[in-house]
Amino acid sequence: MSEDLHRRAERLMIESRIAPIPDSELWWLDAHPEECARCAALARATEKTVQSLRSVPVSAPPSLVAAAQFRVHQRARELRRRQEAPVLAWLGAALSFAWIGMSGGYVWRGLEWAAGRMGIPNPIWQMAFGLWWAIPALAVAGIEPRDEHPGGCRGRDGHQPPHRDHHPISRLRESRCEAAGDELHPVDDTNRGSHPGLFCDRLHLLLPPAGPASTRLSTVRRDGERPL
Amino acid sequence: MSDTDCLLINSMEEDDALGRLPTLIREALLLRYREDMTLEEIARVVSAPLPTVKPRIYRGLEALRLMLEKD
Repeated sequence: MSEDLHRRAERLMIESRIAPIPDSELWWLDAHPEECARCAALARATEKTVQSLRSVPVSAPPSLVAAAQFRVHQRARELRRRQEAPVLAWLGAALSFAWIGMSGGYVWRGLEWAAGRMGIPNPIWQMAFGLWWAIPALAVAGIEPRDEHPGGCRGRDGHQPPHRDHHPISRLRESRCEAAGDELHPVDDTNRGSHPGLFCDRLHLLLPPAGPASTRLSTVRRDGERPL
Repeated sequence: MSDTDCLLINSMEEDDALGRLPTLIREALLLRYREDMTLEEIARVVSAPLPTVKPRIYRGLEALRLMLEKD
């Protein structure tokens, strides 16, 4: 078998794992290793390399894991509150309307009487009665939970998260989070004494810390085992 | 949060197979296979022309395979 065929097979093996290749070349590539032990071994090694890359072991220091878990639990509590809130709001509104319906006549007469005694002009006490009718709406507004971080990605303090100009991966992840309207929270890393990154609630993902674009990629393992 | 959900950018041991690759190549490899990005996304993220991304990944895979074979 010619060297050119081996080289073609090797090239296609890698290219097919980077991006889709034409069907005709794919068929040839599938068939070739069956008759070429050398290329079959090469295909296995290439696949192993890709699998190793996909399973690059990464983890975070315990403090980061704890911070992330805390955020997850906090988010779960928020979601639970939001689920319960509409029921409470409707209940509050119903009670308010019922109370006003029952007491409206008495309140009208009471206000009219008091205004007459104190010489308060009609429009004033009638306006006060109007406010009385606004109680259900105010009750609903008081019960309805507000988004703690309106407007998409915000830091815990309600401001845009720090580290806007940092590594491209971080920027892309942040833009994905922002597009999804996620909240980003700075995460403390007490081992390092700094904010190592931002935590995205939806993705349960720690965004990388600030750094120049030339910062090198790495994986950090908790157990000290050497990554790929 | 699973361990694999955390990717930190930091210094890397020089004797790691991946760490021995040039930064641009390592970055492209991780974006492609660890982050599952398309070539277009990688080009945008690293602010590089699209035609330069594929060769980086190609060279990285080739080099990594050779290193793993040696190890």
